[in-house]
Amino acid sequence: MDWGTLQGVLGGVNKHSTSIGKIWLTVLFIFRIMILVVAAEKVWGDEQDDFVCNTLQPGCRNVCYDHFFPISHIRLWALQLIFVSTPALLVAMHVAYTRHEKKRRFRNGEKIDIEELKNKKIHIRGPLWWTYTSSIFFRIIFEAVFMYVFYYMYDGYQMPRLVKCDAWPCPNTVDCFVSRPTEKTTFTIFMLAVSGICMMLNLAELCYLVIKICMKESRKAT
Amino acid sequence: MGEWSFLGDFLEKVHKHSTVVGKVWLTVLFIFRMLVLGTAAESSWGDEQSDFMCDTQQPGCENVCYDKAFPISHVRFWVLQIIFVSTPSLVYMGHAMHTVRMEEKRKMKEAEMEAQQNKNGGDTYYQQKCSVAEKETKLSGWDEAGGQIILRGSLLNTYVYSILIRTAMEVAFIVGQYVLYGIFLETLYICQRAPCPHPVNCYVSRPTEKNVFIVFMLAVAVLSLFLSLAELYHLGWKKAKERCSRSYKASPSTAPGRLESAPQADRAQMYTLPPDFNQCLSSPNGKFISPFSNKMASQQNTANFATERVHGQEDAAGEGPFIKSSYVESPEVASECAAPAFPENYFNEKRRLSKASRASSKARSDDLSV
Repeated sequence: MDWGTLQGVLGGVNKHSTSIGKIWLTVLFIFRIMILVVAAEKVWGDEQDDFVCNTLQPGCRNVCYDHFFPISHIRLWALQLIFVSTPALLVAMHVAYTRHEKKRRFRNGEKIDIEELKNKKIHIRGPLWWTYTSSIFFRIIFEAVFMYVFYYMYDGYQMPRLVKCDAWPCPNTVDCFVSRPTEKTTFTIFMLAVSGICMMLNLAELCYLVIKICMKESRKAT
Repeated sequence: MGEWSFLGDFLEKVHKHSTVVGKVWLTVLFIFRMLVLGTAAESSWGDEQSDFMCDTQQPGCENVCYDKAFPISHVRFWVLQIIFVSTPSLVYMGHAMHTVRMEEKRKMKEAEMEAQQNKNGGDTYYQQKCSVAEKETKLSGWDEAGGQIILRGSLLNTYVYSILIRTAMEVAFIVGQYVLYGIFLETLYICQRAPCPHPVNCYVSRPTEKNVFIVFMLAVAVLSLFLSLAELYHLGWKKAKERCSRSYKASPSTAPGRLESAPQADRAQMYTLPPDFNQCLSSPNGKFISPFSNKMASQQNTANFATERVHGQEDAAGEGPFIKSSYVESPEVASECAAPAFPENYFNEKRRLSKASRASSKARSDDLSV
């Protein structure tokens, strides 16, 4: 999977984020995407080849693997990362639209400094504040949803060593053994912990933005 | 190695703002750990499970025995080690960037204040400059004139803590590796775990090659640990020296104190580069009132003089923690706020300082960008 494109897009958004947003982005790239690409994909690499069932019945192993792993952890994490990164694109689009508007006004003769337009950091105020805050809100929702999906699909966060399978065409209840269960549990818990940290960062950022705007309003009122 | 680019890009930025020992540590990390792991170790461990053979036909026995023998593969363990050991440097970089940003904001505010002041008249200029300079001395870890990071104050503390945490992580992972696997891998592993019906002989794939890499990675980890400890010792010594010089500076006679700090700062300039030509030409909004009447000529003279001095002093390097890459002008600033009268030789000291070079050392946007 090519995560470089995502890095390119999110790098642009980074300029207009708060400090907490920048920390979140760093955590996302180093502790989630990098771990996924460098380590986790190899751990899950042989998950079907080394899924062994105590039967000679052809097809039983396939069916049992499919029954216990409807969607692999790796693919779920990739989906999670994509969904969690997507709200930042909303912010990027809004910033691009704002710049486009300014350019249009500049072309129509209004005096706007073009250098400032290109390089100036756009402050999070007004409609951009709403876009940014809703993007963080959606990020939190997506993180929570995926954490729940993991819990529901795999009955907790621990990878079992032995699963008992009686799906057709297995003739009876068959013992199936999962490949590398301890290593997989370690990485599942690690990714869960980092998701939790990211969620905390998002909550902190949301609180920070709300408090900042409240203080500004109260200052305007006085 | 392309997979490591996410971390590599961040660490490149840390590289710019580290001490000499820190740069060596980062190079060791990149070459002897990341590169070796990505290219050699991965392929050596590639068939670790497929070629893990057990002397049994019991289905599932090989799986469970492999899982018991290797709860976490060496390669993944080293990946986690590299990431956790690099993380404190990222925290330091975050702090450094924050310092840069605060400084940029402060400079913008100063420029605005100045612009207003110039409109209203220059009477209160000295007073303003005094308050600005006072704020500057309070602002830790930043050299206003230099425009770069100096390891001082809270930034130095962050750097020291990051090295301490890095050292602790290194020790934890070395000990963890020893606890999990010992030092060497045995060829034969005897496994007793359900559903294996009895103790079963299992044979590890490529044990000798793996042992070579295990010993290599352990040695590099120990080397990194020593580098971190050396850096800590170096910084500790520097900090003690700084405290001594600061307590000397706080003595009643201010002029000798400034003289004391200027040569010290000069010694620290051995990492400086001569400013680019166009950066010499651009000048800020006349922040510094030089006592000299002909500004540009004296600036060029002082820049040339300082450059020669810097190159001459490069060999006398030893002051590690000062990583700023331009000339200090703080004595000049402080002097403006105090009395205008100072001894003759202090003027000679000041001539080294250049307004042009100050312009070259504004915090550039690419320096600590994320």
